[in-house]
Amino acid sequence: MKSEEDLDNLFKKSMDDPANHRAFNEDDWDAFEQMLDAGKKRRGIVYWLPRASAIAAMLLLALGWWFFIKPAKVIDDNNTQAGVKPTITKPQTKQGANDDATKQPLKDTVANKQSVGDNLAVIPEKDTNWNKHSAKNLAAAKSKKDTIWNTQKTGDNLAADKRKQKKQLVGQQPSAPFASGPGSSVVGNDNLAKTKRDTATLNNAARIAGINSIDKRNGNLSNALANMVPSLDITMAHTSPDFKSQIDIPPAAVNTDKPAKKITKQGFGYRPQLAITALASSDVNGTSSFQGKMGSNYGALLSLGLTKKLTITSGVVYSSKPYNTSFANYNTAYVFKHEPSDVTADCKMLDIPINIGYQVFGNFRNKISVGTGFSSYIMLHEKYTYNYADGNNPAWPQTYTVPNSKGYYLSILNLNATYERKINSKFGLSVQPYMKVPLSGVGYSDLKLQSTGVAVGVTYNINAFRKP
Amino acid sequence: MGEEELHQLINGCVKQDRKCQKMLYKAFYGFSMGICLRYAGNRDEAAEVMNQGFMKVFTHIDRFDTTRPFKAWLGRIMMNVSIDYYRANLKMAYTDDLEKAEGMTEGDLTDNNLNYEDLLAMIQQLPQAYRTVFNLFAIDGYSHEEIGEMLNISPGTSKSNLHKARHKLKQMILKAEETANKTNYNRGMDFNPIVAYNGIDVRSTFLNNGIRG
Repeated sequence: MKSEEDLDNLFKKSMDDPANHRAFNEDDWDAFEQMLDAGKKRRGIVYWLPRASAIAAMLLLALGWWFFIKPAKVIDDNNTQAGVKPTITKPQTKQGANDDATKQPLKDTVANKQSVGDNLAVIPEKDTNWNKHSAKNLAAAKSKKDTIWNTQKTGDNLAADKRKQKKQLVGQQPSAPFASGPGSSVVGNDNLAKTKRDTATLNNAARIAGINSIDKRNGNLSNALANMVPSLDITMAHTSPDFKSQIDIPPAAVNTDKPAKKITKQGFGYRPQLAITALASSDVNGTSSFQGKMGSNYGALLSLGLTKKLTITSGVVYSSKPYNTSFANYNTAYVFKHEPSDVTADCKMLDIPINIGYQVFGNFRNKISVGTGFSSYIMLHEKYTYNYADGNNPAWPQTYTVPNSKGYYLSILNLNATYERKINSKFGLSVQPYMKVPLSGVGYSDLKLQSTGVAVGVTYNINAFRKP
Repeated sequence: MGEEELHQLINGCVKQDRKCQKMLYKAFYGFSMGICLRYAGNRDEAAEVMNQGFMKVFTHIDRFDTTRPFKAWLGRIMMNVSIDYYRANLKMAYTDDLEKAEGMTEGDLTDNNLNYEDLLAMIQQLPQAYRTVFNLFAIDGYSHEEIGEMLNISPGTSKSNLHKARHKLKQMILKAEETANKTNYNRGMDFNPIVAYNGIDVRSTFLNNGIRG
């Protein structure tokens, strides 16, 4: 037994002697470093999965919301089209109808309107009546200036309807800027066929739209209309600013309530960490597609770190957004006699973002985070230049500068990813690819203006709690 | 390394600072390698196990209680990793019959001529099951009950393996001494070309004759 203990001690003594320790071998460290890196990557993938899915879910929600809003507008457009449709189908029945119409005394108009209102759902009948009315009006055009004037106004209302459906749906009480007979100023598409009075208005409005279409489509009536159309145009051109001011108010009200809820959801944590970022960015802007026009943005942001991972950011960014859009995307109360093919816009605005960022990766020097939030645009300058496909005519409007631009609150969804590299404990550089997705139209023309670009910034940590 | 310096290094490692990690690795390389070498069959295996050990160290260093001795914690991790390695290779672990070891001559240990490298080489030549029990019992000071729990074997098996390990080691020592003597006596003689080899290789060559694995 003694020899066993001796044996154990012999080995123990030798093994425990620090003098016998091996010298450091760089190869072993290299192998270990590889293990460290590989381990990090493997771990990274595992931790990335839930984070990535969280981000994906967030994006889906945001996009889903965005698309959810869209269908509402599409439905509106359909309504508008339904209202306008009769003007297209009209020319076929027009000729026969004219005879009837001319036989009827002018005073019957109101009564007719009401009877049409009863049968509003029955399209053919409605068509016929409309034709009668338009014909009547045409006939009366020469002698009864007042009637024309009134119907012009109603026509304006309808034109405004076409462009500004959404706003009116919000429930804005249709005001009556012009008196044009019983109920004629009531917005036509609101509560279709609800009351006789309303439908009569629609009828009245559609009748004037009919006049327009007659002008464009039917040469037979051109004599009667030739005198009338210029006066129509002039009247509309004069009245369009009224409609703008009348309908431009609601979008802000429409858009503010929904996103506001989201913002209040943001919790407030502890250990706030403040940072100021000065940024400059270049982006491309457009509506349905980016037209390759580069905009520039300069601004200052203040970031508040709620937790180690969550940061809310707000600030002011001056944006210059030039873009090109097809005229189809351009919404205006003004009715173009000759429609431009596309519109070039030059907008200067203040972008006030409220974003929340989540750090998905970070070591002591590098940080990657993804963020989302909302931006409010305060328009400073809006100028639209109209481009016509078939040359230029001095009579056609060339440019329009919006006299009193407005703010569009929380109407833009921000999506971004940020890579930040610390230079020292106070300063850091950041690169941020971003996308601005429109939730509702902005600007005078109610455009869904989207932007994408890359911002670079310098960040100054006011109270860095993390050591460099 | 001073206590304060060590704590700074540990703090650096908590933040996953690569420089601090390397410094800590370098500082405890010899100590850790010493442990892994005697549990492992060869140097490469030892280095692999040690790196796994350091991996655990750096992964869990934030849980380390700085009021306790770091070296003991590190040593424990190295030992545990070695045992894990043993478990993972359990199928390959060689077990010898106890009977076979019985009746072997027990000579007196004259030792003293044997240095660390010699003794390490002997331990490494033990079958893994023997080596692990011998390390845990003779060098790390665990009881057979504890070893049984650690290795998931009975205390009896632990005792048996220890006995066999000791027996083999004794044999190796005796042979080594014998060889050393022979080598000395025959230095320069034509009939023993082995003198050209270095000490470890000589012993490996000779001792392998009587040992499987």
